[in-house]
Amino acid sequence: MSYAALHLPALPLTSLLAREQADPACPAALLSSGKREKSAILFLNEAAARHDLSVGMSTTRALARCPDLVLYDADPTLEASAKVEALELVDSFTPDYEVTGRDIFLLDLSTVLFASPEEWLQRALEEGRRLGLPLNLALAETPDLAHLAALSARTSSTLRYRPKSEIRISSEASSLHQLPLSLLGRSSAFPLPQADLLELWGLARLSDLVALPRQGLAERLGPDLARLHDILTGKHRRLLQLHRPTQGYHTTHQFEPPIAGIDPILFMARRLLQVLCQRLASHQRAAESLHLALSFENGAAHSRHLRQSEPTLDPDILLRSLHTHLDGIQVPAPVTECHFRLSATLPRHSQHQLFQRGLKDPHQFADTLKRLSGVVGIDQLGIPQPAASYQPGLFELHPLEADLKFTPSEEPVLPSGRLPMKRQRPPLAVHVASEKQGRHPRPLALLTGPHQGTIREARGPFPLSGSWWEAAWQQSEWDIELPKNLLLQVTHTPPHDWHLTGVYG
Amino acid sequence: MKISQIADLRKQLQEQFPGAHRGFVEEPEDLSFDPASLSLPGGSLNEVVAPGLCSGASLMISELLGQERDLPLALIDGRDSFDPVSYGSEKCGRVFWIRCREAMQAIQCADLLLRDGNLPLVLLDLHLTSERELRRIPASVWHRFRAEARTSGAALLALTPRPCLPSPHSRFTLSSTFTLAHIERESPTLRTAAAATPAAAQS
Repeated sequence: MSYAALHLPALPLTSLLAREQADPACPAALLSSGKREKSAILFLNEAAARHDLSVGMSTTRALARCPDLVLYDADPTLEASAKVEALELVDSFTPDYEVTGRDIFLLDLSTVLFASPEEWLQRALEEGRRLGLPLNLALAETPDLAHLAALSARTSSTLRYRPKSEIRISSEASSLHQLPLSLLGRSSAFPLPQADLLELWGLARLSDLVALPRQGLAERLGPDLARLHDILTGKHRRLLQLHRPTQGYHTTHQFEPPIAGIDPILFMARRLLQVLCQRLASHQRAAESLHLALSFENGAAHSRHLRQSEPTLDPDILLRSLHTHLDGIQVPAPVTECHFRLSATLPRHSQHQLFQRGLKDPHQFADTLKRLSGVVGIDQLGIPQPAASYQPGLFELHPLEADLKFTPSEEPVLPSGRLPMKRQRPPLAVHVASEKQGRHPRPLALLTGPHQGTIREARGPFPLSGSWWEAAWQQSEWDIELPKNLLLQVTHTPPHDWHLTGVYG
Repeated sequence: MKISQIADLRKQLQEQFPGAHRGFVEEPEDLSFDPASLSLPGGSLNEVVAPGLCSGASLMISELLGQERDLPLALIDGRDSFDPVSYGSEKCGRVFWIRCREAMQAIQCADLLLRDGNLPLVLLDLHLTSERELRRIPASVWHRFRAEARTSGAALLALTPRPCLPSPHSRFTLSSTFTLAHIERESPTLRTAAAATPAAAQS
């Protein structure tokens, strides 16, 4: 079952009845425009049809047959808004659909996953309750067979209001050929030439037409009848003229009842993001970022803009980014509603460099960067660069983007020495035995700290100072050698403070 | 028995039964060590042991950063001791520095990066990590790292004060000694006391 047809029987009338909250058992009809005396019936509800009324009948004649008939004038605005709502409903099922008529939609379900046709029909009709209108929904192997099946309540699954909503799942698609031949007249998509002749021949049902030999039918009554024969036998499979609405890539889901954890959000997000990504793909666009908005039961709200490392159409990548974000937030109350909006952009097409290796999966790396930020802190990772300052230990940490774009400073900073140092952060206060030598004391031995002992050799002092105009600092550095070839850097800050600042090697 | 007698006996046994000594490579002590010759195949776990505070761990990092790479080297700094000023801006531009405060944080970061596999070389610096913290790292961590590295294709190079990794692909022990003259005047060189061949390391 690759196609579905959704039919809103007598949409102009049922939308009026829904607005008026009229009793479904009360016969009602929609009239053509013009004077009441000259007007005719355009649509009837099921209660009116039981009074032997038919479409096209004059108003006076209809009232003669059914004095209780309630007459309505058309409301184009209401009909248009009902159709927009119906389009939104259909679009939530699949982005690939055709607006075949004013009240019928054909859906391509080849990209939709469902456990069984009955399960999908049940779910779709339950979703359809939000329209408040009667629905016929039918599944078939070809678009035209689905269309035909949806025209009749006998061969389709239905949603009706009597006055409460009732869902009936029908699996009688095989009984399609038992429908009357006059059913073809209900839709302009199935023109039936020479209907009178067929009636004279005694053909009453679709099965009668199917039973005729196609070759003879084509020779005697023309190619239109042959095409109709092909449709009814499932040999004709046309392409849908897909409808592409001009709307944003966003969707909202309300949780009833509100949910406590993040797992149901992720479960729902997978489905919603899949639909949004399909919609983007059909417009040759990709998602640049995902905007998430959550509403909580206590009235609080949470929103976050999740920028992707590069445009994507993969719902799993968006879901992974969403999962990482939701893992890190505290949910103050049960979630009542979630809203997702994708920002569309052109997909990126970049050619891989032949002699340069790039990241295997930038999306995965972006996700890993977020997780690393969660472990150590967002300001604790990146590409370091020595700061242009004489103050020891100063550096800048540039955040690493997923595309690895990093521009080093124009003036390169050379290493401070031939032997690099491991820096003690923060500097460790130590007691040092020293002797006065000029302006700076010379260290003789480390008395406290992890590395105590007599200093075999010392190199220094290297006096440093700066920022005299605001927070002045001044110190002198010494490189010292302890027994067992231990090379350390100690710093003297006047008047008496000594710190162990690093270990060489 | 004197040491010279033991050496003679070992030599005779080796000549008599060469098959029994397969995989055992007697390394001369104090070899000059060039990190450029270090083979770090994708998906492997490797270890550089720097037993002393000044046995060349920082110089080893400096040599690794001196090599041209398409992608930055991930440096997981177990004690937040990396000093960018010591390395200069050019070498710092080739490192993705992750500043950790304790060993378990560094292990978590290594876990994420090995699983990710986008950066081909992950350097886990546990050189200044205390013995107490090292003991807290369960052995299963290294087995998990090996499985993750094999899957993702990333290589791990752990810099440790004592041998920690069970059966690494390669293990080198640094034995460099430096003097104050090396800080400014003389070019320091890395030396290794004993290099375990891959066959010996995996046996």
